[in-house]
Amino acid sequence: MSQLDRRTLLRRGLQAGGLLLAAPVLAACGDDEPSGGGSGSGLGTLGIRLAWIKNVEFGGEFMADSRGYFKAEGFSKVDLITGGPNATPAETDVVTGKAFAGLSSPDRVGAAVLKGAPLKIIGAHYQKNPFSITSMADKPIRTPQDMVGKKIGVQATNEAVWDAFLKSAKIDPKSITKVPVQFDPLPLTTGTVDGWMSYVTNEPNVLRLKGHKVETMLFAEQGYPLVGEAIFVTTEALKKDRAKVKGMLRGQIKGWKDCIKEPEAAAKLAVEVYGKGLGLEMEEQVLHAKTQNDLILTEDTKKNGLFTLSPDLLRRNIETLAVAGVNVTAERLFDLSVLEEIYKEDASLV
Amino acid sequence: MSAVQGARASLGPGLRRLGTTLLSLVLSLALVGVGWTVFLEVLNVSELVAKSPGDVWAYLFTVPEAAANRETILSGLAVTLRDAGVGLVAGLLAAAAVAMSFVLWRTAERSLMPIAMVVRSVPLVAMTPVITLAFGRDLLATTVISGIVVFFPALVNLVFGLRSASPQAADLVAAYGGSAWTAMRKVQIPSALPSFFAAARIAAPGSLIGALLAEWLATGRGLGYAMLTSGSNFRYDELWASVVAVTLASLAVYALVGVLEAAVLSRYAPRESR
Repeated sequence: MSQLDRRTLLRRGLQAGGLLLAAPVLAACGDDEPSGGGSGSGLGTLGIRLAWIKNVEFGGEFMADSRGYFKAEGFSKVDLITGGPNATPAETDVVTGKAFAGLSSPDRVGAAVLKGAPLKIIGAHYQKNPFSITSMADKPIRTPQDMVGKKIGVQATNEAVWDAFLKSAKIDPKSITKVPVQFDPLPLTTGTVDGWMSYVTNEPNVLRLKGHKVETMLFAEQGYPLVGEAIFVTTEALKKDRAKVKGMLRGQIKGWKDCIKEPEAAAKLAVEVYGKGLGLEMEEQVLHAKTQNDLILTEDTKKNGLFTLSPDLLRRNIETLAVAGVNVTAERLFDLSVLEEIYKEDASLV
Repeated sequence: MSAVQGARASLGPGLRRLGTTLLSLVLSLALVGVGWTVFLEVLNVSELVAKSPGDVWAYLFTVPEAAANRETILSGLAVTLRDAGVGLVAGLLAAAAVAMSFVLWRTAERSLMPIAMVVRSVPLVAMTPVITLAFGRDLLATTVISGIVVFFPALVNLVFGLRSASPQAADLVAAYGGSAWTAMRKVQIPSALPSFFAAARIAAPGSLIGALLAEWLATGRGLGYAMLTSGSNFRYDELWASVVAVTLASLAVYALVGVLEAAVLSRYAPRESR
């Protein structure tokens, strides 16, 4: 028995040792690229944590980077950090300093803020919520009520949005069978599920290009006003690195203007440069870029500039967040002053 | 030795084992706690993300929502333990049946072992979608997934254990006219018990991992899924508390199997239990 104890101890010791060995690696992950300040007149390195894998969802950032808009603002280097199904939340990467800014949705940033994370949303790419429920055209889901009694595939990372949407649509979650799925919409085509939650820009287009007839129900058209791809930074960055925040936003605005005008060029960048190796398909990415233009361009953004939120949209966002259980004031979650400043100084950007 | 005496004699080692197991448990927990704290201190990870043992304690016991928090974690853990327990038992039973058939019929081993090896080398994460297509997304699927984690190491150990029986003893059974099955019952199974428990001890934490994986990819219930959603919704205190709960459960199950092992082995294989 004494032998056994020694073995146990040895094993525990080795486990602890493993942790300690892993420490420098983890540490290196934690604090490379201290994205503050930078030297001299330049703004240093810009790290942006994307909300998803490097596809044309970030076409504007790809454009801005490849066409030198970020460099022109004074950044020496741009790091577009990939997200995806297994990435840590973007909020975590920004809070821990792995990235200077992140892209996420207001409900997730709001949840982090309520947990004490010092973050603020400074604008949003998508004025309309990009989430949708896709269904096969022969069994269409057109309204939230159509989902009652059906099986809907929901990804774990989208669960919070799903809950919030049901609350705002006043649907009892128990009346719907939620099926945990990943990001390949095969279960929808095989009939395992009747509906599929995703960005309207992704899976529906994939299925359409494979020849399936699908129907989409956009959350934005069902009274769900939350903006998407919200750009956020730390409150400290807003105070101490305002020039950097401003430079980043100006670069993004220019990049996105190009992306909106040239969806093919943006798709090409995604397929051949930034998302190389992801197996993206050109045709699908072009369709994606065109679909997302509808989420970006509204009467308000045409008038006030990209990424802006009208006071009315902002108010409805806060109301919906409250319904979803994220009780946060507009002042605590949003700071749109940098964006206002940019458009006031340079009206040509609108 | 009568059965009663035997049972009483087997109680001693079981209790002694329980004592030493508890001692080493407390020791290793203290070590993990210290390592955890030092780790966070040295690396200076943002405390919004990295929670200390104190934070987890507060989350579970001292904050105003502590009762609700405990309820969240415990209800998840109950589901996970059920998933893992059913998988463990199913996996061990299947492994025992297959191992016996391997030993009784050589052809069975020759034809099935390669298949078992192939199945074993397919990553479980890759196989899970197929398993859910075949077995659905309920208890059956979690049982299959966590059973697979248990099955293969147990099978290899058990075949080895059954083969390690004394050939003289088996010959004796044969000389008295006993069948192969009698030799299996009287000689091979008792001498495979140490291997069986060694396999069970390794398999118990493994079955928990299998259950977590199944919950993550298939059923969407239990701690496996809760850990995923709490991580992506910035509920890091819940995430860390879940990790602690799973770790403690894993240690407890491991210790429990150890105690059971000591009790049974002192009856059937007194040499190994020492």
